Amino acid sequence: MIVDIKNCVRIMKKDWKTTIKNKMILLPMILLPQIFSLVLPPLMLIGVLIDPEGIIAAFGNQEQFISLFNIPESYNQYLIGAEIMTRMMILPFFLFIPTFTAIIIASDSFAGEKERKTMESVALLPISKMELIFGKVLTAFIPAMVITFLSFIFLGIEINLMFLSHLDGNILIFLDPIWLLSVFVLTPTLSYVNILITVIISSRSKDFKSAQNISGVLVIPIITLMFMQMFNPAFMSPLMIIILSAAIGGVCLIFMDLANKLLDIERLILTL
Amino acid sequence: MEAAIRVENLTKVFHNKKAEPENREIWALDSVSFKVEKGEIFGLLGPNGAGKTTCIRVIAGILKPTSGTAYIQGENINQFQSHLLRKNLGFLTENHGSYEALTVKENLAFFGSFYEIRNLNDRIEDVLKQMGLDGRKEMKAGKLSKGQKQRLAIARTILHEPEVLFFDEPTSGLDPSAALKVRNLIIRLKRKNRTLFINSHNLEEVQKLCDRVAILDQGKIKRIGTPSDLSKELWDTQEMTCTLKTPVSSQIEAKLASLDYIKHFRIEDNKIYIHSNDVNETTPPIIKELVNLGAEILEVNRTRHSLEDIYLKLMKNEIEWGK
Repeated sequence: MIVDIKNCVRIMKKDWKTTIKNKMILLPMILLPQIFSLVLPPLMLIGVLIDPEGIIAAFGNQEQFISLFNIPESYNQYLIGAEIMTRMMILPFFLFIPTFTAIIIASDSFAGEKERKTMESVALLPISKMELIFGKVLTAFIPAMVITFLSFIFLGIEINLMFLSHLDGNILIFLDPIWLLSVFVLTPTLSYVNILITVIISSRSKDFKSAQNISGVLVIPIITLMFMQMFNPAFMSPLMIIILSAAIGGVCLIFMDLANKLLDIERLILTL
Repeated sequence: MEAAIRVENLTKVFHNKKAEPENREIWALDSVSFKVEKGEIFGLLGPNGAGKTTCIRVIAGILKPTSGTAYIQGENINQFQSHLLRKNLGFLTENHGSYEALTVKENLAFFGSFYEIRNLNDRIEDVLKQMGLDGRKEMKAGKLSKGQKQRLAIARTILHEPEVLFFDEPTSGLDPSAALKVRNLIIRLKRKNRTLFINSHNLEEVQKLCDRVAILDQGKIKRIGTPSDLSKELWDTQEMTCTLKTPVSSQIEAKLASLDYIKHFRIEDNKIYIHSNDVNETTPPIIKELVNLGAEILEVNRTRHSLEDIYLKLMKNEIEWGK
């Protein structure tokens, strides 16, 4: 099926104009990433600044972490503690950012059109169902990615500033392959599939709120990931991230086709 | 020449799983067939729930027919990709369907961007002027009155100058002067050889605008034709009234009784009420006979059945049920 990307972009631009003006979407979209990237990490890391040995010991054997995480020899106790904490706790929390952002925006995709009574006008546009779906996906995907990347930059700056006096020429998280793969490979695929699922849910929900509530289940895989990482420090290896991303990418292809089949314009119009 | 719209045995059945088994199937359209010629204004009348909106939604390709099909400018809605077919359609929905958070101009720019419109900005200015909204282009659509929202929706419908336009209740919510402007716009569109399909409850408006009408009830077409054809179909005779200067003489009475094209007549002092099959055809010879007999005619009135009479006669059962 041929998708005219210009049509998708037109849908996306219109959605941005209407979405940005909706406080129910805008406020959580601004606040939640700040909580997960700027508020929670310093609270988690403050213990490392006070008692790095104690924090490292609470997680396990220091030598085991050094070899498992390929921690450079130049790292002092503070940086080792920060490295363990960011990988074990902050990274899984960070994955909530693209998930939440995606859910917030994508919940409005079709349920919002229904609520605004504009669904019929959209259905009458000379665009295919796939163009409409892809436009809705882009509406959520681009802000989710921009917010995630910005959050990563701010988080990195914040952590490096916290440990500034202990850095000794080292840089935390910005050059860490696990972080880089997570932010630039895993996050986009994870966001994309979450958005697709939320768009499907939105098309079958009666309003934005119920779409958002149902889409809340999408945080379950992230929570699972968080626990797996907490109980098995070796879980989030570069290879595992690549495998996970590829698997999610495959799921994306299946869901794109499924979204096209499940988007029932007739039902959307008749339930206005 | 290919009809602008050709509908063949179009059937649409909705399924309500929650209803009692005998009421689960709702036949919104039941083998509906008609043609709308290019440049024609066609009116679809019917009570609420008759299937009018479903009919135009199916033709526009946003609802799938259960069976049957429709052709728009020769393209089968079931075979052609319906979204491409919509490039040449204008569709005024019952709901104004504009984005309230966007300005009037932003709304038109969004909808217009999907069509190949040269100088979209100029075209937007032009339709805003036509619809009397040029002073409100920077206003949020949500701040417009109900009538202004309807005018914005009409502006959106005509923006890309489609060949075929569907208007669902075009003057709903408009004040009389705005409604008149919309009717004038419809007439201008007809002059440009556009095909218009109007769903309306406003019988007077339909009578003024439409070349032909179809009356839909419970998903079935009850009658289709010009208002005058329908009148002939539904009433055996039509009435003309002739007022004379003096009381009607016995000579005139005898002459009228001898004319075979007069079905029956009655006399009340200086007035004669004459019934014939077609008053348009019988009026001139009757007047000629009266003048030959020396009658001085003050006034001649031909009573035509309005679309409202036609509609009410066809919907008699429905109206009685409503009582």
